[in-house]
Amino acid sequence: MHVQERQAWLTLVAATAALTLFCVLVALVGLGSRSVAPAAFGLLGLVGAARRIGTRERKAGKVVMDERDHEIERMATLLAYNVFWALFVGAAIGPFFLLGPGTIMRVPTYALTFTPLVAVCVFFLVNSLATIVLYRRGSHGREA
Amino acid sequence: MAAKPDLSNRIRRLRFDHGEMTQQELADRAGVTRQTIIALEAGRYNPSLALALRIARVFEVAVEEVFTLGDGREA
Repeated sequence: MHVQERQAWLTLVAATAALTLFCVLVALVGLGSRSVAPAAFGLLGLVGAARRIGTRERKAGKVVMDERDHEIERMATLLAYNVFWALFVGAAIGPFFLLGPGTIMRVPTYALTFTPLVAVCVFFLVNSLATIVLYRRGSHGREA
Repeated sequence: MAAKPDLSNRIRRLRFDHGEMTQQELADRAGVTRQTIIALEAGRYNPSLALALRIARVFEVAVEEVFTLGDGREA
C-alpha cells in the first residue's frame, strides 16, 4: 500500500473515531458548557501521526510522492474543500429559510467551540475517503 | 473542457525487451513510485509530458515508441 494511502487510512480512522466518540459522549453526558464531549476531538491528534508515515522511506532516499500522488492529493483536497464550503454555506443560509429572516437565534458559546472541530472532522473524512477511492480506482491524471 | 486523452503504452513490453527490467528499477530511474508504473501499465494513469519523456529516455527510444494515442494516431 502506498504511503499516502496508509496516511489516508489512519486519518479516516482518527476522524471517524473522533466523531463517533463525540456522538457517544453527547448521548451519555449531554452537551453543555461543562460537557467533556468535545474532548473526543483530541483523537484528531492522530492525523498528525499519520504525517509521520513514510518518514523511514523518505530518509532512505526513496521516492514516496510523485506527480500521480500530488494529483490524487489535489483532487481529494479540492473535493473536501467543496464539501466543506457546501456545508458551510448550507449552515449559514439554512436558518434564514427554515426559521425566517427575522428570527433571533441564541447560540451558546460552547457550540462555537465544537462546531469548527466537527467541520475539520468532516474535511478529514471526505479528504481521506476520496484519497482511498482515487488510489483504488486509479487517477487518470490531468485532463489535456 | 477537453476529453481525457486515451493513451496506450508499451512500457511492459519495453521493460522485458530491456533485460526484464523490474517495475521498481524503472520507477527509480524515472523518479516515480512503483505504484505509478503499475498504474501506467494498467492504463489507469496518463503521465505528464515530463514523465513520458523521462520514461522514453530510460528505454533510449522516442516518446512515440512508448506512448500511442488510442484513436490510432501516434502520440
